[in-house]
Amino acid sequence: MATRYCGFMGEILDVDLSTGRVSRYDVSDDDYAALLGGKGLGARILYDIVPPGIDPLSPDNALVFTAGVLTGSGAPCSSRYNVSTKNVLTGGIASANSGGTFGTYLKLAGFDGLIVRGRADHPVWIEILNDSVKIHDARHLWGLDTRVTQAGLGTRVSTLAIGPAGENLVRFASILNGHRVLARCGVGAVMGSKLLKAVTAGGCRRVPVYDREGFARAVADWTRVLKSHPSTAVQLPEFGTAALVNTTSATRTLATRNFSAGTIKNADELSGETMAETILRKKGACRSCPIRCAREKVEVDGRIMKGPEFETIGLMGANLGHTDLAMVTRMSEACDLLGIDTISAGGTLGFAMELSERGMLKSDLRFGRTDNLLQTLDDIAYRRGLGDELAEGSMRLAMRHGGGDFAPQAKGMEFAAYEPRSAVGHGLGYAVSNRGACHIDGGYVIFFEALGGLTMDPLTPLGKPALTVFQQNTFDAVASSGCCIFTTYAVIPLGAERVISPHGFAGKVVNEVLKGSRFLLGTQGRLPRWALPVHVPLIPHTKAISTLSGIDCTLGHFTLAGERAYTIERMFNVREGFDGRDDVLPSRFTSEPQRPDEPNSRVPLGEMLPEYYKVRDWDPSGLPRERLLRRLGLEPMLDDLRAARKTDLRSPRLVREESQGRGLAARVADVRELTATLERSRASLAATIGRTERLDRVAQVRESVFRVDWARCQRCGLCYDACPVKPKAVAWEKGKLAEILQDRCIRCGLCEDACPPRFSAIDRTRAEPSRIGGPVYRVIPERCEKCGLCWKKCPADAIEWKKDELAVIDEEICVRCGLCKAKCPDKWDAIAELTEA
Amino acid sequence: MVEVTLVGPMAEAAGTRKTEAEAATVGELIEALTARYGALFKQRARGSRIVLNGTPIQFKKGHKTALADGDEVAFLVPIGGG
Repeated sequence: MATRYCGFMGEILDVDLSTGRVSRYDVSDDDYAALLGGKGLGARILYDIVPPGIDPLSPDNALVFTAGVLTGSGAPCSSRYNVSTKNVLTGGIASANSGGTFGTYLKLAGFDGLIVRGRADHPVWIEILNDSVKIHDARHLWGLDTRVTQAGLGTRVSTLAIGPAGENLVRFASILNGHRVLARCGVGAVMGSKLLKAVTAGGCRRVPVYDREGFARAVADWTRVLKSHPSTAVQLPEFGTAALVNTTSATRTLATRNFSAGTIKNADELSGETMAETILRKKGACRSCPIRCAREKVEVDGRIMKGPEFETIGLMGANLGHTDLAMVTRMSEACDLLGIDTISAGGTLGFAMELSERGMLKSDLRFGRTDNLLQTLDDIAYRRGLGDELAEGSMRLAMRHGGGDFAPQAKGMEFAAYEPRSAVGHGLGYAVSNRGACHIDGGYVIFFEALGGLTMDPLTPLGKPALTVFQQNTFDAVASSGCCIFTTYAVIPLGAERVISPHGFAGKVVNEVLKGSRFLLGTQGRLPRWALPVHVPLIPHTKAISTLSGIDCTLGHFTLAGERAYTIERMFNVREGFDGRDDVLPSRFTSEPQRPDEPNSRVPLGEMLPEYYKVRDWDPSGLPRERLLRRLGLEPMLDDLRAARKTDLRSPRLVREESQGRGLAARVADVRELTATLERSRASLAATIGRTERLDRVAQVRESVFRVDWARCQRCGLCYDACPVKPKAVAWEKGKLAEILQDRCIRCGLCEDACPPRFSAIDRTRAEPSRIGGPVYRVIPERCEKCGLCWKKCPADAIEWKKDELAVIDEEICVRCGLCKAKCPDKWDAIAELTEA
Repeated sequence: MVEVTLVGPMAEAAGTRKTEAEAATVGELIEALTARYGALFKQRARGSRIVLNGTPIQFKKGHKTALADGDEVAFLVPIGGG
């Protein structure tokens, strides 16, 4: 079903792994416009297709991957996509958002989203390529790390993959896409529970644009702002997110020793500045991002790895009581390969260290000790010994060993790397965040308290609730649109702090103004969408969305989309039995001042929550009011809201959680057995599965005639290089269009394989099934020197060979190109060319 | 002696990220560091956020805030992350 709005591809894929059925999920034009795709659309679909009360690791749960309207459009930082599912840690809503390439490639394949339901009966992977969707056997990939898995599925498509942690249902398992990660909420465990090892996407579609000139102008203006603002043009590109280490340590907001402090001595050893001076080898960026915050390559122990982000550095460094940047990098690398969220892993490890030091948990984990950390991460991924307990996260660890008052989590999910007691608004964000403690879902008010240019008093509760609501709505709108939230850091006017000194009189005025946020921002959500019929240069997203899509995306429309997304997620939680009693923090953060000389260095949650609910238009028990749902066009959710008001769903939720815990051990044992079985037969499985797939492909290829579509040909010559025929059956010269010479073509399909999916310039038309022409090739055993050269050169993987064994040509797969014969050294001449009868 | 942390453009102006200085107030500290590192330091210090032992100085006595031995002062610049 297409949509009348540009920017979207108009189709959502719906794959049921239990039945193997692939269909399309309908989304109305109104929903596309009201939600803008991404996080909002994902939450809405999830709400509609997943019934309340299910086990997140059961086939009833669904994974909803969605790209936003801007994803893949070329707008700045617009590579973001989202996955929504039921949260393995909290039992409420889960959402994870990431840059990378998958969202873009999904759109190039022709889809705005992918829904995965059910559970396969053996490990599988899904291939999405230009409208075609196939479910493949992945038994040979099961048990492999995320990098090997991705490499095994090709480099010209975008791949999502889980590692051993996802397979073993670790509650904070992640999903990798290249080096970028859908990290939080245990989304990797949901994928593992479905026996879905990987998904690939690729295609040659283009994102339709409504007003090409207007969009190009909007993108150019927006890029200019990002390239000239100190946050996005200097700090993030120069030092990455790790530039936050020194600032957070100085403002006492760096998670340290299980959040017992906000600063660590020698924090600079972990900083982005130190990384740049010592181990950094290459910076990088997601697609279409001018900020370039990624530390693509660092060198540790003579090996090239991905540079760790701030959250990883904070939680796996200072939070564990050490400042060894090389160790943090090794841990980050291990987490990526195993498929583990570094935030929840770091939070849980820090908590386990404090439990151990207090004698409440028997383990050799200690603050400052680093020699056992890599082994512990491995144990978590494979659920071995103590690792099995740690794999459950800090809340469940506290339920078993005590320490709930200092477990750094809310709703069951661990804090990010910011200690909230010296940025109390940020603490409110942790408590109310829909997916469990999260800095982004919580509104990132710390930007106004400790990190940004002009800040407000970090310890006052005044103004924080309204600011939190405003930020949450804006971030949700940005995330829904498929854009990176780093684009919002440039909203403070360039050079404002040069005109208004933060520590002068004007700085004090700014503080007072921000404290009055309730009056400035508290009602913005309640204004009708036409009340803000403007594009504000400081929030350039609206202009880009309008010109790209044709949606009249005013600032009012944009913030309303964010509020709608946030409310849908809250309603998902309400339907699961959550209410205000779950918007809490452990008592360390609300009762114990972080600094003895500063009694206000604690989160005054009780003072902020009532105002937060009021600004949100929720009732004092934390449930949205009916008029809010009506205002946001969410009337279908009214019945669920009324049911939640009538019945206390909270107790049944907690009981369900208990029973899920008991069921999990059996599930994990099953997975372990499956992995062990597949491990033993991996080589033969790979050969069998590989041959089956190659045979399928040969069968298809033999029914096809190949031609170059000149409208799509990029003149790169990859098809020419791949053509095995001599002389070549592809005519091409540098800078010129390629052409397939039908009289020479042997229909091997290798040109099609070589053409990048995003171009897909080789067209296939169905023809009478034909055997590939040309002679048959066979190895002459008595002449074969078992060197493997033919095996190495065969472009169709049609030759079986192992060291010191004879090569054997599989005639059913052979494309008759003769390369094996050509490559076999003349002195042996071990390949016979036979004319077929 | 006061421990000083410098971030981003402030560190660039001074050529170091960590230093120490003797000063009775924040204002005096800026003067002392300006004398050491030049006028660019003072110019950039105006737009930087100054934090004393974790608390921004505008919530104390601004440039008149008194400093004691062992205090930690940081000159910060805007940065956001995620």
